[in-house]
Amino acid sequence: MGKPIEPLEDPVTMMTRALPANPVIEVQGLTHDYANVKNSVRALEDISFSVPEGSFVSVVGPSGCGKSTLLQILAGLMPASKGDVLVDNKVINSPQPSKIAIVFQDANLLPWKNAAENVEFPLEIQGVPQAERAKLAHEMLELVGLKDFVSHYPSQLSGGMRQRVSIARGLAQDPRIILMDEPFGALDEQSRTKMGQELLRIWTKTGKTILLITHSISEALFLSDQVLVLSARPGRIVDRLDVPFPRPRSFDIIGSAEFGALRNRIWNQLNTDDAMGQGLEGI
Amino acid sequence: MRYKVALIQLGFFVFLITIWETASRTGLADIEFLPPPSVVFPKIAQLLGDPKFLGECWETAVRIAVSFIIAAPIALVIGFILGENRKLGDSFSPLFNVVLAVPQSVFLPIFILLFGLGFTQKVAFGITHVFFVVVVTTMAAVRQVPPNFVVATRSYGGTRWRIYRSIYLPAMAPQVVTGLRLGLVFDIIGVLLAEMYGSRNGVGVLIFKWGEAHQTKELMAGILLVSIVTITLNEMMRIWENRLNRWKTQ
Repeated sequence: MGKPIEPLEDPVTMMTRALPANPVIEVQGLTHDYANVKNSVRALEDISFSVPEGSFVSVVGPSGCGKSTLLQILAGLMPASKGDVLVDNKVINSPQPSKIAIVFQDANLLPWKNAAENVEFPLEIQGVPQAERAKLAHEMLELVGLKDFVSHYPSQLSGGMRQRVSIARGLAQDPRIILMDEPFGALDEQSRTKMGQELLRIWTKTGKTILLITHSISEALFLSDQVLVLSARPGRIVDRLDVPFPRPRSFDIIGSAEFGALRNRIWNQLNTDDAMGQGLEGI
Repeated sequence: MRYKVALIQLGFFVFLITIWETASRTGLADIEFLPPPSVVFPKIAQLLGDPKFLGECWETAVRIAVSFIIAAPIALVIGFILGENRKLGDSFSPLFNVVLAVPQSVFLPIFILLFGLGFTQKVAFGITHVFFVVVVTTMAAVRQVPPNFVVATRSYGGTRWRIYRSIYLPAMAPQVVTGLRLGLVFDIIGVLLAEMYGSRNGVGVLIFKWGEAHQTKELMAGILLVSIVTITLNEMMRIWENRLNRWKTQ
């Protein structure tokens, strides 16, 4: 488990994140078909990308772009029809909790466990000794700003707090990459924006590699180093763009002309591709 | 707050007893058919000191316990399998739901024909009362286990056994205990009914005989005693249930 909390890096070195580094995760020609007796539906088509070490990459796409299929394949929960997922150059074909942690859509905390116990649960499964995992859980909950809520139950926490616990749980696994599935989708606009900032702080502090799946173009642009644009059924990568804004970022960039131009570019990619599905948030 | 509720409940209970006492004393209710509490309560104490009566109670208690211990584990296993296996569950659950809707009391004559008037008949009748309700509630309990929790546990590298232990068990427990509680209540109903209509001993037959002989003091005492025991058992199971449910309201 090592030392999970690294000292805050200085802003100058953080800039190097955007430069290509060793890919932590590499996706090669991923295609997936859902087949039943009568016909087969293509959910994903020839998806290839790689996520450099320590970077923040978002996948943005409309509903029905095969997001959850992609997530399940990346997490090793389901085999793809074609193509490979490599983490640290090793093919993933079963869940690898020490390599990939998932932050689920609706936090997905066990209601009968308190915050600390929820964070400890994956560690318990991996056989981490009690004392060590308790210590780790407290550290991680402190990192996400929930120091005073370790023994609160999910029903006693707000939506944002639950998602923080979920992030702490992902971090505690000390994975190579954190996969986030629309983590703030259930939150109101304000909490969502706040959690985005929170996430950047945590990311900066831990230096983890993050792959975020989201509907929100603005969220993807504000948070990421790179944005992959997925089309609707079947999900294909129709655009990939590097986000040029220096870090640390402030909300002011959202109002800038450059941000607006990038947002329009993604919006149009999804439009021209006739992929403007329901649930796509432009603003 | 909880004190207040308890106080109100106690007050209501005292109120009912007072009404009953007054009704019998003033002739509002026929004292021959409804003896007042001041007569019935001492009768309860007297029955509890009577070894012959306690012997009958023991007979009944053993029948209830044996039928429950036989039926509940089998029903839990079958309910679990039917809940876990969608195909099996969809094929057989209508059957169980239909049987659950049939008033089982009408089958008593068949049980008497098959098993006679002894121990086996009572236990068999008790078993059918426990079995179906526990199967159906267990099946429902399995089906409401959130699939998201299962997926998450798999992503942490959890085995099937781990998923059953750490997700299914706590998620199912409150509903399973509800099923067992209902099973026990039904069991008591079944055994007492079987005793009343075809038995040589047990509390059921005793109460039935007291009724026929117009021994209303003993009859009321017996009815109250059975009610108190059943309510106590039910409430004990409910406390267990609430404890398992605590995280829902926490």
